Amino acid sequence: MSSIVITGSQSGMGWEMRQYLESQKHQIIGVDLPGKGAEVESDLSTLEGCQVAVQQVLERCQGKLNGVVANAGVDSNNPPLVFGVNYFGVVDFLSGLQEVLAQSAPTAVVVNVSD
Amino acid sequence: MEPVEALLQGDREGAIALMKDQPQYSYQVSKFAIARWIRRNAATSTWAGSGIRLNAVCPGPVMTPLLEHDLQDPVKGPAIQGLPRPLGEFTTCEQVAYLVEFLLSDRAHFLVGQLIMIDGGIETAFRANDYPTVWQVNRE
Repeated sequence: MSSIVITGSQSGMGWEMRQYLESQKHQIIGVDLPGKGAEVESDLSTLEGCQVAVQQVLERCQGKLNGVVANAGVDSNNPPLVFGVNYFGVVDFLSGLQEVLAQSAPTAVVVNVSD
Repeated sequence: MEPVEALLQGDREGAIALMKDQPQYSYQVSKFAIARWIRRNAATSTWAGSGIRLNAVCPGPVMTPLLEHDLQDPVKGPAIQGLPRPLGEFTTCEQVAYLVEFLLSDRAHFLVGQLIMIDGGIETAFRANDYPTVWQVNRE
């Protein structure tokens, strides 16, 4: 059994990934916007939101994290939102979890780069 | 290319400013930049060197409620339907999940910094000759 974070876990591809990985007995720590039922609720489009999400993931995983699926993404004509979620929401979030991932190595990160 | 490079340098405000006249390309710019970030960082001491493998899955159109909605759109629908569909159907979420599961597993131990297209072959119709390209093995 392993502990996996999925961002954008409560809808679309993230939700299906969550369902499948849970069926394979992985423990999922979902991250999504408030009100969607994820274990960690935060808006990854801002640096503060990423930092809050990282903190809550660290509290939940208790020093052991096997993988991260950076799946959250948005499509719109709003550059701050799109750059916030799709780029910084990945880079800043992963950077915050780098230490616990290194401590739990070997570990893996998969980013959803939909074209 | 400029907004992509601005993102890669961590310049959020600068990247946003460069999109002023072309906000409709925000999505493509963000995805290109994150793909490049993965390629540049996966093999560094911070990631692979620390035992953390970094890769990407690159799905094409995936059958989701969002896609079903877009297929009904008068502009997006025909555009999506107009794409080649070599396997005759759209990728499913389940197939993407299988690939994600594999990449997360220890069996993917030697996969580092890869952007794996999972689109039933659509993108080969557009850029079959983009890679592999000749690579310079001697680095400064």
